[in-house]
Amino acid sequence: MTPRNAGKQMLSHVGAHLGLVLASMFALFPIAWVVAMALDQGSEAHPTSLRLWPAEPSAEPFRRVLAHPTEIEGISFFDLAVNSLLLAGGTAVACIALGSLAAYAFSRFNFSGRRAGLVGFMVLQLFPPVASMAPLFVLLSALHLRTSLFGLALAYASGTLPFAIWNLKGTFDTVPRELEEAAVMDGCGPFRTFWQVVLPLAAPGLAVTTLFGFMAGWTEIVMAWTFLEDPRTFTLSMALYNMVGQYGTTRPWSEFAALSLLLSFPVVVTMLLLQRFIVSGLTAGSVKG
Amino acid sequence: MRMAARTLLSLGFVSMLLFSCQDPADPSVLTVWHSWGGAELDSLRRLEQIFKSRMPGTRIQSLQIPHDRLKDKFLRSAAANGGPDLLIGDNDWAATFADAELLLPVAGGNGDKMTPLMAEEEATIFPPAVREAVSVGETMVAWPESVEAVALYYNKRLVPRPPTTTARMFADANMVAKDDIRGLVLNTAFYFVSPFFLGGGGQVLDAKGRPTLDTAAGRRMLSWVRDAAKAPGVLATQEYAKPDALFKAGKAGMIVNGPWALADYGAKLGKDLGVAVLPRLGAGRPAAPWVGVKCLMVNANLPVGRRTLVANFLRLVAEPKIQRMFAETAGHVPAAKGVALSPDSPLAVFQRQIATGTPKRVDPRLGVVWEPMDRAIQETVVHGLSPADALKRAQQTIEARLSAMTAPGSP
Amino acid sequence: MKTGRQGWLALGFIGPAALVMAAVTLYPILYGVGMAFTDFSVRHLRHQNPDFVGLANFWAILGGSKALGISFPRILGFNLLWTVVNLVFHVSLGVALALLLDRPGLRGSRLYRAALILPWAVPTYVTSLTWRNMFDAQSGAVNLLLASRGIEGPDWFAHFGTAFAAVLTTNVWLGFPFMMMVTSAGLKAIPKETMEAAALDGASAWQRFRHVILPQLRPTLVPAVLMGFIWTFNQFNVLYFVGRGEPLGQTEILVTQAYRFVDPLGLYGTASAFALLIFVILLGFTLLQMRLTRAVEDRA
Repeated sequence: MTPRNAGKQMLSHVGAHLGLVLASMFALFPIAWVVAMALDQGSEAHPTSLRLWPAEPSAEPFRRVLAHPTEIEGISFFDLAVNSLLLAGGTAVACIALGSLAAYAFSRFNFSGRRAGLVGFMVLQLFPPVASMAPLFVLLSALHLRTSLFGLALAYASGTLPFAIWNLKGTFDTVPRELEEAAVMDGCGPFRTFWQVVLPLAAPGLAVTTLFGFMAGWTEIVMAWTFLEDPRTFTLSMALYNMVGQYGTTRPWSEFAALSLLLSFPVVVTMLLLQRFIVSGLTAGSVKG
Repeated sequence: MRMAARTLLSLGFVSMLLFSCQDPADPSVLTVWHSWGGAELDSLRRLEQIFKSRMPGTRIQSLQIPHDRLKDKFLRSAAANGGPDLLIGDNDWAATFADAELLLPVAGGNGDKMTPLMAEEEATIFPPAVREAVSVGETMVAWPESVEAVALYYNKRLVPRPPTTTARMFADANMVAKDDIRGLVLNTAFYFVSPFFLGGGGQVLDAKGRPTLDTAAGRRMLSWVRDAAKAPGVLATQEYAKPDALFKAGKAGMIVNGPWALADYGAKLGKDLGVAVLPRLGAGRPAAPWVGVKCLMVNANLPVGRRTLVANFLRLVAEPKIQRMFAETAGHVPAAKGVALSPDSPLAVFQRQIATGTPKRVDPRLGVVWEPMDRAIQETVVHGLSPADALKRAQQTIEARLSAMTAPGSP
Repeated sequence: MKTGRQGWLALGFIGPAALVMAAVTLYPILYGVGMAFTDFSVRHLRHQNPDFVGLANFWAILGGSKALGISFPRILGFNLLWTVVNLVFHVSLGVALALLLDRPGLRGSRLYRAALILPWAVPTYVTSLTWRNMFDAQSGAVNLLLASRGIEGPDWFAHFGTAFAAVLTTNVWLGFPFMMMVTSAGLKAIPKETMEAAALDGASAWQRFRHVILPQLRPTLVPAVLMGFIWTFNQFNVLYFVGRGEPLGQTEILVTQAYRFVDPLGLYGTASAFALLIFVILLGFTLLQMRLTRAVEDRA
């Protein structure tokens, strides 16, 4: 590389850094604001000056939220977190278990109605849930599943399945068929081939789909607050909503901010850890569309 | 196929783990849904303690639900044969619930499909006006807990004496306002400004149930709110939380709000908190706020085995001792007779305010009025529409919705 | 393998998902479609016994019934404006940032990437409430920031223009990371040799982007844009919790309006008819887009 070129590259890197720093500031500003609020135990609902670092930072809001996340007696932060994990995990598992099987069939088998089925799964996604929520409520009530985390996970999974199937089909499409053919030659049945040969190779797509299913279950609130009745099944995101629902002005903003951060933390960390997978998982899903 | 079978089996197993079955007819567990927080929640907890000590072996499962989800949640759950035994809410909700056949009548009028929970005589513990506010025809569809109407709160540090006329109120507000201090924080939702409409000769529905908003009184109110919002010392908004937070933080001289806020304001402002009857309108007429009733509603799905338990709970709520407890700790104005309040207490001010108020009945037609009127206010205050035009639109919308209600089959 | 055997196998694989979706997705949707032709309201919740009213709900919605107090074409128009403007920002910002991050030898790209992906990772409910408060006229971070520069910030949700700017900012913040990630993924798939060859040919940066990178990105971007279109078109959280329809219902989109028919108005039949209209519109757009993109691909 000639010195002139290096200089030019440096210069263009300065421009790139400038753009990226600006974009990062845009991305981080609201998050920094929430962090500042969460550390400011005096913060009320309506601050009058902008401080991105509180005058007297303290972990007190976090302590209070951990000790006393809701006004409902007998429910600890731990219980809520376990329920959130069960609900989000259940949604993700249902999504992956049902979605990968269906996606594999769509990717590999040639059967009548294949195209129609694939389009059908996608078309369902276009229907806004506002109209189907009332019948779903009645249906799950009749099955005695409505007030359980299982029923809710099922409802979430039905919403995330189309994306899961679509994305996983794309992933499976990229797995070379030769490996399966070799496995079949070795005497593997279709399910064993799927389980032992194809699934491991589709790891990135599986990771992304799992993450999406998990996030759907981890963060949803409107359905959760409509369906669930027993406090023993309540989740962290419900506790968060409870803090600010229309007239909920009794708890300071610092606690809302602290709980927001606690709620976001696991998802953010997973997302950052899986970043590489997400990138390749998304391409796999879309390359062949 | 084995794999799929295993998946389904394990899912089924998880479902069994997660789905804890509770006997719905257990006669000793009472479930209550509410949206109370702060001092009101503390009072509810004390009530629960007292009930449990009176009826050993019973358990109360009370559940706090976000206020903006509570009504819809009860509607859907009760309609699907679920829901709590009792719901604590506003008496105007009872109109919707009763219409959807979701409430067990509490007393009176036996002509209905369901036998009321209690004998009619028991309800005489409430004054006739209160009973009427929770009745549909002869049937009492909810059990009153407290009576509510808005009055004027003021911060004595900023406003030493409460204004007696609305003109003075704005003058005071402008005088007090400085830096980040507001003189008056005014919620301009129709509910909060209607004292100055109803007191000024206005009426929402006439005797035949037709809306009467597009009238001289309505136009007067809208111009009044518009001018109020323009006053430099006034912060006008239709959000509940913002004025509330500013007043609590000591950053507002005055606020129009109901007794439900009394305990929390008292805790924040201490001796500086003052409560006064709303200022009179120009010509000396008293403001006439809506008088609503906070009440307990009984789910129509209540199993027969728990009727006695629920009836006992309602009786306890109306007892003078409990009514006094709610008055003292939560700032609730007692709904039942026989609870004397000392005349200089803030609650006595609310009682006087209630005396000049307009009853908010269990009338589904009333429910149609709020949203179009909130909009009309917003249109005049923020968007510069003339009061006459804004009211005309509101009136038309309300008329159309009322006629849709009376003629089922045409939305 | 014969098709017959494959058919049975496929059924075994698809069966569980199809069963679940038939029960929890398809059945409620069909029920909802049925509700659209009835006067289903709160009083029918208990016995599920509404009266059949034919197309009355649709006429009321499309004909601008006074009782509903909405203008369907206006909401649809805003919904489309909202979707298109958002997508333009999402894609241009996402592609630009991905290109910057993709530069060889750029220091700190992992750090930037981590920062830029954060908006996507935070739950949208938290995001929405946070932005709503950031745009608060008196105490919001945005106006406080402006005030520290001596500018008096507007009352964001009082006027359509500023309210639109506020919800748009929120959703751009929320949506660009996805497009950035997708583009990054697409860029990885472009062979290095292609890029180098173009550079050697002396093509300018813009020419390289226009003629080399963009065509290679297309297969990745097109499905993402399609997906983004549906997501943005139905972006409930941002418009419900941040915009709240303010001012005067002007930032209401179709799904939030449909939700308002349910809560607080209790008009389930009308809401279902509304949902059905949304479905038809979305289906139309999706088919159109697929046809258009296919036409483009065929030509390319």
